[in-house]
Amino acid sequence: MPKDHTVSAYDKELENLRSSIARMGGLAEAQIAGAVDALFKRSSDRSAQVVAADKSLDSLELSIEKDAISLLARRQPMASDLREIVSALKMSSILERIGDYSKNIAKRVGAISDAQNFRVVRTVGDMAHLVQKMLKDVLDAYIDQDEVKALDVWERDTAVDELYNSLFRELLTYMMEDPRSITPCTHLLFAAKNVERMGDHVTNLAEIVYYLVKGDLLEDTRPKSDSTSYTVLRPSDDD
Amino acid sequence: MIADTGNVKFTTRDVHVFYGAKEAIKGVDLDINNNEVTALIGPSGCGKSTYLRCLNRMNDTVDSARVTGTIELDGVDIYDRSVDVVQLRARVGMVFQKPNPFPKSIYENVAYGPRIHGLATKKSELDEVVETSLRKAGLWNEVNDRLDTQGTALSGGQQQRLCIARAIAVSPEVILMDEPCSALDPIATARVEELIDELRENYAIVIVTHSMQQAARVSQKTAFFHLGDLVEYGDTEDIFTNPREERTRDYITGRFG
Repeated sequence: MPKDHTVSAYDKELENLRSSIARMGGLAEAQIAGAVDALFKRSSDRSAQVVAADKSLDSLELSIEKDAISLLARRQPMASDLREIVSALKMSSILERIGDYSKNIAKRVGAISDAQNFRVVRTVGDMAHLVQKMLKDVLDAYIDQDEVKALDVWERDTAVDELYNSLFRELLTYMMEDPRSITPCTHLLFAAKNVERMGDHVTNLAEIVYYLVKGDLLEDTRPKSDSTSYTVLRPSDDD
Repeated sequence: MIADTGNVKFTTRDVHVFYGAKEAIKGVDLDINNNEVTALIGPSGCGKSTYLRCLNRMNDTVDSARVTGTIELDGVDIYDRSVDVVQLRARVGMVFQKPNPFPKSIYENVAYGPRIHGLATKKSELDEVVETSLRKAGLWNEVNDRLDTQGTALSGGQQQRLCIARAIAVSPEVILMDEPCSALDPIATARVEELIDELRENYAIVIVTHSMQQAARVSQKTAFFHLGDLVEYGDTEDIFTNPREERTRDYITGRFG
């Protein structure tokens, strides 16, 4: 950690920014867990909680944005300070986005719970669990200024994509077998897509943490393995 | 800490400057490129102004000062016996912290140099040099109807641009600026910075500044000095977003102990 600024109020403002990001990250993590919990328990109360809690993420993002702009305007930050503030701006908007995906999953809980004889596929829970862990680790990397840990998270998104690919095929199969499952399966597919997108956003967070610590941009060479955009299942595939 | 392009104007190697027994610069290797602004930054007493003053031998005027090492302008050692210091200072012009126009008319301020250097003799030639120099300094439109008024009657920002016009009137190749904007208001500062950016097309410019924002705005290369050492030199963008040396980072982010 660098030494203190000659102007101590500057240190305090940067510290506030960091702790707001950490708070947002903790909230975003809890929202993923909450949304998936509501989904598996078919709990409308739980899902309503998640939807309501999204507001605190929105307001935190707004206050981080205000603080960051004010810091840029008043302190003319340089070097690591500049990277810190720019990173906070970007991370807060990504965390807000991750929160939106959780909220969207929570909103689908009703439609999925209404379906008779439909069991939520476990893979969605596995995906969410992976993403939640990645988010936790990237926040630790942020707090510890640990670029190695950030790189590790960056490489882990492939596993989420692979689960999503297999879930995609599985749900298509169910829908072909029983048209009554189309409604819950479609909602579940959107929920899974949301989780997959969250994973992508977490890798962006990892890139930002890397830049924050090292000062170099991570070139985007990460292997992408979400192939569902090209996946086609025909009835004959099913034999 | 050697510049990366082939367009080098000044090559300086192992430069030491002593004021009596005190070593103000402790072995600096640095290149100054053509068509670039090189900013020298660092806390007071770091040696940046002393280094700047080596480049046109202004330190010769300080009795106790002694300069060692090599300082080459286009490959010629400027401390060589054969070098005419007056000619050198015409090639390497200087603009100071406080605008210091001669107590003469605006016209005479600019015409003086070309006349004593014999660059223009006829009145028509002098008129042309005066106009071109004032235009290059971005001052012509403000003063062309009152070239007979005293240079000292202009505003601070105009005086500084007059001093820049005076410096470029003798067709220098390098312009040294020692905190050229520290006595100017923000608008006058912006005009001078705009001018520096235009002048870069034709000159090598070296600027000493205490304002890191100014160094970041106007320069392409930045050199950070501390306690007589050149700590870090590189592209300005890199120095201000991702400095490699801890001392540079501490200084530019305001963490100097």
